[in-house]
Amino acid sequence: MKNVLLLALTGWRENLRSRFFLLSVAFAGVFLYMSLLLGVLAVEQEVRVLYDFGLGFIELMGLAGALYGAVTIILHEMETKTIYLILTRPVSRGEYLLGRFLGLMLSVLASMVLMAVFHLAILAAKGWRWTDPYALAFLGAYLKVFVTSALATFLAVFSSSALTAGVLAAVGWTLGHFLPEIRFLVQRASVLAAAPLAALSWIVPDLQLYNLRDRAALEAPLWWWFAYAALYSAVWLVLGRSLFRRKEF
Amino acid sequence: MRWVVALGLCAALNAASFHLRPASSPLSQGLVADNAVESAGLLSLGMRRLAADLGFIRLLIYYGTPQPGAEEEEQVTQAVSSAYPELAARALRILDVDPTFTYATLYASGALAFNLNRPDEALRVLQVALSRDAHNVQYQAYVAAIGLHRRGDKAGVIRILEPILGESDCPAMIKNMMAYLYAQCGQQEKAAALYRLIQDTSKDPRYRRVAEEALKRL
Repeated sequence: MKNVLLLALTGWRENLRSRFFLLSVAFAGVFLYMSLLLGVLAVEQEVRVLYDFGLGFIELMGLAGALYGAVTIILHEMETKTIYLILTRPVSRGEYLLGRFLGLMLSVLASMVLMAVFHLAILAAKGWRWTDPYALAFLGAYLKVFVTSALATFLAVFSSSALTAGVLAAVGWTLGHFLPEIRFLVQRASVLAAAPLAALSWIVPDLQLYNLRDRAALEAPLWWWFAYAALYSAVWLVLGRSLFRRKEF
Repeated sequence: MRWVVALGLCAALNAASFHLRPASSPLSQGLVADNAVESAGLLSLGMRRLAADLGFIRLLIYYGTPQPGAEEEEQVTQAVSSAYPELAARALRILDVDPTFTYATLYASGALAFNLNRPDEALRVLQVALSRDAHNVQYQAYVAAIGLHRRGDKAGVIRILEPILGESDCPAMIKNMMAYLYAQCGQQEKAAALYRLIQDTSKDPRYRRVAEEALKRL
């Protein structure tokens, strides 16, 4: 566990030194510009539009950073052989994978929190009051990114191609949001046509579970949010670890 | 074997998740050509509210663009009843994407009933809204007010809609209409107070301008 924490903190420090947090700065710039534009267009619903746009954008920026990190970090260290520096020490491959993943998730969380602070400042300046479940919506967005990153980490180890892993994870993200529609189609389609969809609906992450941005209230208990994120991510990380242990580089 | 266990665990987790939360309703109004790609894209990213927001901005632009032959001022206060034929359909699509978007429903039904004099369409929008949110007091008040408006009962409309004026999501259009009704019913002080409220708080420059001119007249 100590090795995992050390690797996570190292990953966090590396990201801090790199340009990872430029994501937050880019968010601030784009959001400031959009807030001026949307303010004119949405007239009396300016605050609602800024609220929705900001939360959605934070999530997408967080996802972009997380996916990029998840699919490149390990593969890059494998290509540059820097992975030997770590694995020749008493660090297991499983610890390495988990440590790198947690370090990335820590960096993504910090980046998303920075964006949220900026978002809240703009909302406050526009007269928004703390009435909506902002903190829960933000938590839901982060857990979505967390679950998808675990899947992306597995895909990176599985495919050994950053592009393939990134695209497949993005497809998983989209399907995860379409799960209610997929379930609806499964109920109405013929057995043969529904079979692939049904199989898909059992595998892709249930991202609508966390989509409090789109709903007025929680539909599942909060403990289930954490349990689902932890267990679903653990499944893919354990599977990734078993593939990684057999990998030769 | 590991794969089977992993996929089985994912299936068990998703089954538990489906069991814990109700199935959400799919779109019933469908997509339209001018924004189908955008709406589908936003829905696939899990951004229904943002899709509804963009639909509402489009509705505002649609309703804010003067129809051929109409003055802008005329559009804000009273437009030709056959104008803006897509208003109800657009409002229903927004409601379909985000049933909690009360303001869009109130805005569109208010415009249809009180500005365009098409109460049947307004009631249709409100009926769909009430089928999704049966306990919404504002929707219920609008239905009652439209009924009274049809009978020409201005005092009745004022009585029904007066409590809604204090709500934060009461559209400036309704405030403007109520101020007009106050003035018609001889309640000049209330009309002036409401016009001043529009002037001070509304973010819509057209209604601020209308309020300013009405205050001069009063």
